[in-house]
Amino acid sequence: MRVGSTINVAFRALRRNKLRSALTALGIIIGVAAVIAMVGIGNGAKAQVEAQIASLGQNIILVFSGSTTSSGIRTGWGGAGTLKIEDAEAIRREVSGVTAVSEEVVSTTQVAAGNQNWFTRIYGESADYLDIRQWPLADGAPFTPQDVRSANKVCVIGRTTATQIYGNDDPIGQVLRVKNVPFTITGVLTPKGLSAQGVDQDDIVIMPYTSAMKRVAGGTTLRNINVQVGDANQMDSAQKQIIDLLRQRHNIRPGRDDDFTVRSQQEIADAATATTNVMTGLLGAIAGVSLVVGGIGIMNIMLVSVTERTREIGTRMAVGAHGRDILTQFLIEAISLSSVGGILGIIIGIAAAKTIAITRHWPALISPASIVIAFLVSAAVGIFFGFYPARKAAALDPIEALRYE
Amino acid sequence: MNNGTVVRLRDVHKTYRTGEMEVRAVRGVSLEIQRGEFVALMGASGSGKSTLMNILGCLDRPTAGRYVLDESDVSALNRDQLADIRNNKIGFVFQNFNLLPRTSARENVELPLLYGRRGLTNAQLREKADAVLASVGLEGREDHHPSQLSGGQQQRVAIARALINDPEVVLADEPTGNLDSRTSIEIMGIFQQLNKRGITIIMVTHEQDIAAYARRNVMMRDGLILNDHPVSQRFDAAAELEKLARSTSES
Repeated sequence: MRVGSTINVAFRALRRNKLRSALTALGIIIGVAAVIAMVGIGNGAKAQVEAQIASLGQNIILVFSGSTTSSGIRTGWGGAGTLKIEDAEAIRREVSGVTAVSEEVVSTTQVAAGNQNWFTRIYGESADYLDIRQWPLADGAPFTPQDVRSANKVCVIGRTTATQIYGNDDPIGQVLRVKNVPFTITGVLTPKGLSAQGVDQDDIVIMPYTSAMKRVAGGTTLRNINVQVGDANQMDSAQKQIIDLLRQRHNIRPGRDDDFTVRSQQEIADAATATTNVMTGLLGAIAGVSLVVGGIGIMNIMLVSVTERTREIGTRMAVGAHGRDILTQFLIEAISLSSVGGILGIIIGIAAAKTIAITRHWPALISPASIVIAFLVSAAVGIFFGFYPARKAAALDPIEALRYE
Repeated sequence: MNNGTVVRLRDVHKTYRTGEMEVRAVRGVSLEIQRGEFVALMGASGSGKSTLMNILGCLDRPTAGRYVLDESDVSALNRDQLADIRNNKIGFVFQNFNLLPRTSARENVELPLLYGRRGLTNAQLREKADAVLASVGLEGREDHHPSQLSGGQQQRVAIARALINDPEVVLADEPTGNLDSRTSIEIMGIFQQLNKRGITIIMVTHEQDIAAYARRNVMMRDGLILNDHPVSQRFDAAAELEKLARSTSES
């Protein structure tokens, strides 16, 4: 029998049961749409994380106090206070290729102005910080190196903090009480939005690190040092110099573990990408389950269909259909259902991803590869779940089938 | 159509095994049917006539004996070869019509052509199907679904389907079993016309007055042929219909 007429026969059979065909395809439509949407959202999240990490600035090396790699007690990044202000100054002075350094201390506390108060994060930084992060001010002026040297009571604030405390009023020049110390606001930062982890980056107060250490957080150690290198080619050498310099300054003998952690922006990006890859994979796998359920739906309907159409199969065999013709017919029916479902699922999946992207402000990236794979998988689901019912149909005895009531 | 033997059965046996039980449905039947014959195969249920019909129709293989159909031995062919023989040489008419539901009369008639190896285009399929439908008096009903046709019309579609591949033999299994007496006579009329055109027909029936439309009656009992004789007082469908019309108008 010609392939063309088998396809013809299969389509005629599907047309005869329009509602059932549509419902069967629906299982696959939902499965494929879920896969496309989930993977699209996962990929979008990945792209967003990558953009966030790029927004840390160009050619950044982060030095954290404490180590994640030491044997024995592991304190985590920024855990143990081992970095001193002098370490940062030494990096600034001695490491070649370094263009900017920012000492960083972080604390969270209640801030207040007038009758408003707000719980936020306080970042102590050097005057270079906003340049390193490529984070311009929307309004006002940054604090100066002089402010840092003198530990002046000045700060710049993020958009969220500004709105929460001052509403629509202009915060510049106003006084913000941080732990009851009055700070003068010199500038408001441009909004950066949510970070990849969902933290509002605009909910922040940035002040000279000297002021933060002396007047807000207390303590004498830094959480981390942000180092910017002028040229990407100097990243490796700068990273190595920083490690050597700090080991020497901290009197760490050869063979002992560092009491600090040096990470380049690239390494952090890689780690974050790996995390989002896992997330994308997980979302895809969950959606894949629904695709399998859709496939089982096809198998179920095809089995019912084979039973219900036993007499038809008998008739076809009586007029000359080979077992192979029957097998092919039912397989084509299953594959048609699953691939038409696949195509519709792809369209709906893209629409769903775009809708989520618009309503949740969450980017969705639909890669051509995921579309091709989703289509091939749905066709494969049709073959896999269609084969058993088709073989059952093909193996029927024509006499029994003709007599079937 | 040339004359000659179309069907030659030589000591054909068919034994079924269901568990411990052995059922000897056909116990040694020899039968020859010439081209152009109209044979009614008769017998009570359990006489083995259905089993013999399945063998004649190449739906089943004999356990012993030889079956030569149109000069070729089909007793030992495999499933696919039998399917091809059915497609090329046999046309089936069933008691319950066995038309595909929700499928037009034309598409039902085209069905055997789809499984043939003739490579016809859709237009050729259509042309052929319409011609055969017209020959059984169904012109204008090509697009009707079985549910839109009467029993007699459905059986005509089935006959058209049986004829589409120009078979050597038309096998009809109780073709009037689901029809009222008037429609039954009409169907017999079609068979007699086809037979006049030289088409060989073998019909299974248990009704004496239906068998009387054939030229030859073969009676079976207990898996054997009890008697085999030409029909002496043959019914003519046209005359019978006239008679029926007259009797209904009188009453």
